[in-house]
Amino acid sequence: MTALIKLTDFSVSFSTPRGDLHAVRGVDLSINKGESVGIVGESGSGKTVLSRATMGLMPSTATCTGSVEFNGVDLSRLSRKDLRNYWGTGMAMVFQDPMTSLNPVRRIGSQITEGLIVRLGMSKEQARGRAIELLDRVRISDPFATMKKYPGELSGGMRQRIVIAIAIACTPELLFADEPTTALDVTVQAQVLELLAELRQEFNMTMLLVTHDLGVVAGQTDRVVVMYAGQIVEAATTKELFKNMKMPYTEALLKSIPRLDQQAGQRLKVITGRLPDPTKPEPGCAFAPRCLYATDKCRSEQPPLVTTQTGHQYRCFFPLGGAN
Amino acid sequence: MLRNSIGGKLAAIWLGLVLFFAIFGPLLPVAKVGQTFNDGVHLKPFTNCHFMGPLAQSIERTSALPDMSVSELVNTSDNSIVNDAAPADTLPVDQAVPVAATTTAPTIEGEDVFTEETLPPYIPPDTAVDAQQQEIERQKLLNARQTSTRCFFLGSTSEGTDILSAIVNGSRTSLSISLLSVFLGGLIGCLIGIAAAYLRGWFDRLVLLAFNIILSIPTLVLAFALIAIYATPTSAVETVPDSTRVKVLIASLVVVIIPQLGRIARAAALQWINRDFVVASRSIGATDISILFKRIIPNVLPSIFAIVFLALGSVVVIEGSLSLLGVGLNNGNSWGSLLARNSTDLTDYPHVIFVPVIVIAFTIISTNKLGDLIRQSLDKREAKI
Amino acid sequence: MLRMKTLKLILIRLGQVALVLLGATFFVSILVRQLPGDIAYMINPTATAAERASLRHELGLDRNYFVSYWMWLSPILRGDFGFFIFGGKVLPVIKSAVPPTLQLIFYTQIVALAVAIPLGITSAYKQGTRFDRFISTTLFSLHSIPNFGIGLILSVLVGVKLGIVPPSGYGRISDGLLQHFKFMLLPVMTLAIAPISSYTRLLRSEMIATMREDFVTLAKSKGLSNVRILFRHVLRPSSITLMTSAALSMGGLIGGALVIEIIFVIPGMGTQLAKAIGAREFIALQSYVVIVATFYLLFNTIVDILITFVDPRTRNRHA
Repeated sequence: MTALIKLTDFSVSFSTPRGDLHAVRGVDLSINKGESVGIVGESGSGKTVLSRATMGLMPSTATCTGSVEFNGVDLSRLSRKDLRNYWGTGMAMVFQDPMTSLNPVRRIGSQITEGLIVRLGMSKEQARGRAIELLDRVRISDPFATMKKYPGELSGGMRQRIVIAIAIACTPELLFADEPTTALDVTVQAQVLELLAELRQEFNMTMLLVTHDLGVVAGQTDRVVVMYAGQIVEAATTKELFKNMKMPYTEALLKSIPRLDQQAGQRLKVITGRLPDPTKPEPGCAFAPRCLYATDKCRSEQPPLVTTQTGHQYRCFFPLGGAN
Repeated sequence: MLRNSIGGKLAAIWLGLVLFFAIFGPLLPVAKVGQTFNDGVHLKPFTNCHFMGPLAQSIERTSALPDMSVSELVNTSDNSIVNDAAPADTLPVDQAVPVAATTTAPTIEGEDVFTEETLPPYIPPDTAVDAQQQEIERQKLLNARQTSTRCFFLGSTSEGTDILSAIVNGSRTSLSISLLSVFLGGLIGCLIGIAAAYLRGWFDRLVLLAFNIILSIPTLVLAFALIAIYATPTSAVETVPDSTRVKVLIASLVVVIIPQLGRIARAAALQWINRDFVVASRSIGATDISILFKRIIPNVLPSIFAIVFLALGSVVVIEGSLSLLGVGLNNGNSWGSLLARNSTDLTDYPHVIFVPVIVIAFTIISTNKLGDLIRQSLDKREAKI
Repeated sequence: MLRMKTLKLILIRLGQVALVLLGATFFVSILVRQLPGDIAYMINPTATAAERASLRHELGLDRNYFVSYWMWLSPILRGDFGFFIFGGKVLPVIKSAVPPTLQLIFYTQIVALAVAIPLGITSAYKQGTRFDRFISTTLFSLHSIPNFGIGLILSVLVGVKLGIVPPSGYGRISDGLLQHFKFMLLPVMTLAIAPISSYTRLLRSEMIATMREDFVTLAKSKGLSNVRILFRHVLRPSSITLMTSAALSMGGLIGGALVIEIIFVIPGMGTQLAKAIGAREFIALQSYVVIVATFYLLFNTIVDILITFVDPRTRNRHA
């Protein structure tokens, strides 16, 4: 299998008045065609920045180093104008908050057809027909009426479906889904995830699902990458990860999810402490201050990213269940 | 706040200068309010200002007046004095204003030279001239001699007012009008606005309606109508004294300012009243009065303060506009009225208009700049909360 | 459904305006009633006591506020603005004075928007560059010069010294369009400077804020060009704020126009207001103030209603 997108030693930093903020630090990641990969981490772990920077959607205050190869082309060397040719058709993104990601003063129809007309060169009529198909596909009940509506007249779940329709309009090869369900009601969350999975099959898309919820990842992805403080701390196939968890951080994340099979009255485990200050990287494992098992070695020395024979990667001196 | 802004520093310096003129104007060596020179001939800027070097204009009507006896003077008609232009270089060097003189021109010593003692001795009236006539001539002579050496840094108006002096004296009137009206209007407006925000209900609705009604009439039109109605002579022959005009002017400006600042105070107070810390302090049993004074007013005041600066500037403009419309002051004793009074000389003597315009513009740039800076620092504070 | 809702909103808005207008006219009539001294004497000092009494009765001054207000208002509602005390009908004067003032304000808004929109877009797009700083400093300084100052200076420099256009005066449209615009050039330039400055600054900051919105990032991720994003996605939400501000600045413009009319000798409402004061025509003055307030409120209401049509957000906010 060939890698559709390959990040090598990819870092992103922002210059702030308090010094450089390292949001993503030295990430190596390769995603194959047709794969579905989940990126998991708590807020501020750098997962959203990673996905946006991979696409190139960063403000000018950000500096990206390392390389991003898409279908063998190094995107980091492309000019802004050439890069734009990949957006929409090569890769597209579903944004986190459907309330703010649609233009409030333009009709739904024009927002969907715009990409089709500009990028695929469709005529207005063609684009309209395609947009109605798309709306139907994302299970909007009355596509004709919805085309004429403004975002303000629709519910959050409907809007997120429209954001998805916009993203898949030009049939991109790679779809970034940046916390696509976080801002939605729980009942709607499952529907949207299901829709994404269907669409992925149908359009044969590769998907990068960014979320803070290990539960979402479990049913949706082939592979999971866990991020902490801008670094990959664990990566494995989804099955392997849940069966054979190596990082104490991943374990802590899993334990913080409420579960039905827990005894009633039992308290949720929270991860104590906070993320380290991204402007002042400390020596040693970034998770050490909050880790239950941390030793002096963890606090003074940076653990390397270890790869086992099964391809399971982790960044810990004392992995759960031993080195194998 | 001012640390990183050159513009802000300049603005503060200019306003400081204006304030200094306004307070210490009477102590400065400038012509008195209403004092005229020159019997109504325009003088260009830098007239007699020898320290300006080649830029200095020489007065065209300088004559050897001091050497004439009064009887000679009296026999010569008015016109000949004006037109009897002597070459500028005949001006006695020792009477020239010293080079060290500052921009506020004639020094006190310089003025002392021309007190009554240095005039030619009083000669008993001729048979042909009565005493009154002679006194007038004596005054003219006094004026003429002052004119002959006085430095008119910014020139003079057609009435013979020294423009620089008029600006310095005018700052007193202009600044007190705008400070007083903004202070009173702001105070009343804030009280009403904050009370409305705090009490809500019918009082709030009533206040809002009243504000909207007043705001529905454009500011200038309202002030115009108010002054026209209240500072109007009761018959065609009477005139309204300046003191009444000033009072009515300030009162009208107060009426205009109340809803403008009141609305902002109300909005700011509303915003703070709903903040969690106010709700919290109410929940632990703080009284209305203490919440109002300890929590709300200290937070509302800074945002009012930023607007107050902008209002100060706009009041100066309104005052000038009203003068031009013919209902403001018309004695030439404020910047606006100086402008209005001389606006007919615009084509031939533009400097008479440019000077007050520039002074007003600098003042407004300064108040706007400071208001802007205050708002910026408020925004930063807000962002931190 | 939506139509009904919008219609209802418009009706409510018109009701509010009527209430404010009623309040404003009543306020003005009270002001006139409060005139120090005897109005009848002021109007006609030579009148006998009996004549003065009948004049007072005619004006409703011997009745209570509400009655005299109604006595003044009801003919106006029928379009009868009464007579000048010194003779002549008021209505023809209003009819001839309103067009120049309206033209002045209308042209000014057009010029201001035509200059401010491209300037605002360019400085937002080039934010932080030398161009942006130059524009904002220049506009800030120009904005601070009082409009009568600009008017006087322009009429001397352009009107008299250069002699390109007449320094003052007014030409009716019927007397030749070119002449009309020549006369209007300087007053419109004078009046437009302040709104140009405030609109540019507003549009710039509004567009910069909009460019940070998620929906702009989404538009970018569709692979659209910068220019397309700027005009299709950023400008429209920002221009709605600009429209609101343009409506709000109407009051200042009307006030400014009155002064500018005096400076440029344009026979509009400002000139008539000044004349009415000079001649102590208080009844006419009252009508003039009401006319000005009515126009001001009407402008604001029209823009408010227009915005309801243009901005789908407001519709939902009220709903």
